[in-house]
Amino acid sequence: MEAEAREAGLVQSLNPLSKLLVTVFYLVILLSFHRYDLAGVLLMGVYPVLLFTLGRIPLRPMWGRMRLILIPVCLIGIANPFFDRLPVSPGSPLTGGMVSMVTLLLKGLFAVSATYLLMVTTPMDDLCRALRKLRVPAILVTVILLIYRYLTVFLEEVARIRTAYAMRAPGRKGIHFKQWGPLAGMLLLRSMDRSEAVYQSMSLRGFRGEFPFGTDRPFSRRDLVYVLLGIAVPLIIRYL
Amino acid sequence: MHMSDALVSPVVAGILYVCSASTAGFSIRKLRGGDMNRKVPLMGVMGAFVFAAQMINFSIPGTGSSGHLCGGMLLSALLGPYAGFLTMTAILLVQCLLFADGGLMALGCNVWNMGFYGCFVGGLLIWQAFMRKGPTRGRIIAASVLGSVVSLLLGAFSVTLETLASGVTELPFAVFVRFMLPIHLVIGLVEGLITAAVLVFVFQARPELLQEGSGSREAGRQMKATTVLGILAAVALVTGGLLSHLASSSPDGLEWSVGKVTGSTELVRDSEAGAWAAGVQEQIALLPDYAFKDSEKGTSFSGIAGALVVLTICLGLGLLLRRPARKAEKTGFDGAA
Repeated sequence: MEAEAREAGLVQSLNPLSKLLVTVFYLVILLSFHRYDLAGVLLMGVYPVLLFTLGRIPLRPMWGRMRLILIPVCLIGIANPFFDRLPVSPGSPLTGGMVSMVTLLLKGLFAVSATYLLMVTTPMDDLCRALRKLRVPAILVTVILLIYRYLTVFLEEVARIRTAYAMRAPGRKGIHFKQWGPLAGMLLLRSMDRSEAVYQSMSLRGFRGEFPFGTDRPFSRRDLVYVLLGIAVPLIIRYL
Repeated sequence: MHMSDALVSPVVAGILYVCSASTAGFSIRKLRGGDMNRKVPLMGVMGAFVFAAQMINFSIPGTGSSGHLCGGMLLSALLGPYAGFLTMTAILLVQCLLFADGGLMALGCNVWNMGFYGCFVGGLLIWQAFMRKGPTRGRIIAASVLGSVVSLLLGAFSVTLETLASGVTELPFAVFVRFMLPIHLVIGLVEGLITAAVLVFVFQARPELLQEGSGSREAGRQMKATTVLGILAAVALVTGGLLSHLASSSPDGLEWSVGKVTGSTELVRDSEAGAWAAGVQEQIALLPDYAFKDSEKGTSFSGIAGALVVLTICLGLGLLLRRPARKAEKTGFDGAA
């Protein structure tokens, strides 16, 4: 995703702050639709459809992310057809519960798409810079960047631990309860030692509580058009 | 327990954002007095550890299933509740951005449901009360299990309230609570035991690491474990009484379904919380909401068909207008320091 976000492209070249503001505004309007307003929610699909096609953004990686979010949404939404059986019009087999369930699923789908589009077109450094411009405290932004940078290191370490354990305990599903403490505990202690080394190296490089960010992308006329469209179109769909 | 964006309304999301942001501001103020710069790398690395540790499946004996660590409790025990809360906030933001686990709008809810209860109820209230006289193996296990169970139950209860207040589900309150709480009681027990196993190992290997989260300098001002248990018992009694009252006054799903078939039970269309939230939302909306059944707009099949046509046109336009694929030189990501 990071590599995708650093490619040259129409959306990628926009100022990260404008992309963040448009995404948040889109989400606010999307979630404000009434649960029976299926047509309105469907129209909100214009934003992800246009961005996916214009930006040549791959769809496949998003489907994997969908399952995490769609399972709880389905679990809650599936109750609606059972508890709301009033037909949408006299004699119609379609009930209010069915409509609200589909609306809920579409909201989930579009909300994940919007966040995915933000991430796939904006590198994490740029996004954190935008957060700082919105006055998000430096300590929080620094911790976010550190987690992001060390995540891959730790995931690789966990994968090695799991492989080593699987080779010593073939056929066993999960970690035996007697090994819960030593296995995760050793990784924890190594992590804490590593954090001290990180602190020493950051101090030597002049760390004073915040990572310095490089030069920012200028807020261009294209950004202005993007923000104005990003605010106007959802408002028109919602209220006209 | 991560809530997705689709489950919250803007009003509920906004309220919980304010609550979580205020708690984050308070935590930062508390941290400023100490050696914050030294703590930042520890918070980042521990955040990545908790993230990665979720990938380890700890098998639960006799069940065939597996569980995970309770991040809030673990971070509070090792970093203290304030740094723990900020780290949990950062973890939840990265989770929602990278893995779609949660959502940008639901972030305030998720930080409150998992970070606040885990770090301030599980960490500050329960863990520090048990560690008042110094950590022992028994106290660590008791505090971890109790802290995990209480914080998960409170989090699950909040998820129920937030979802119902957002008005996205037709589930009656009592049914929803009965569905959520027992599951999270079991999850809390398992997560508490796993967290306890890790913390006991740390205590045996490097006991000094538990001093920070134990708040030993402020021990004199912490409540006794018995006082905390008393408060929790009182809260449980009051909540239990309230829930049983609500449960008896509202039909559950099965009763409702039977009633619908036999015609003897009236349809319960919505929860009171949902109606209240919907009212507030309509009051603050720029224009009145248009609902499926109350208005012609957005209700008719022609409206839905029209929306689908617009989407198709947008898709066609996007495909026609998009620039030819141009692979830029990848700059690469510099990864870990």
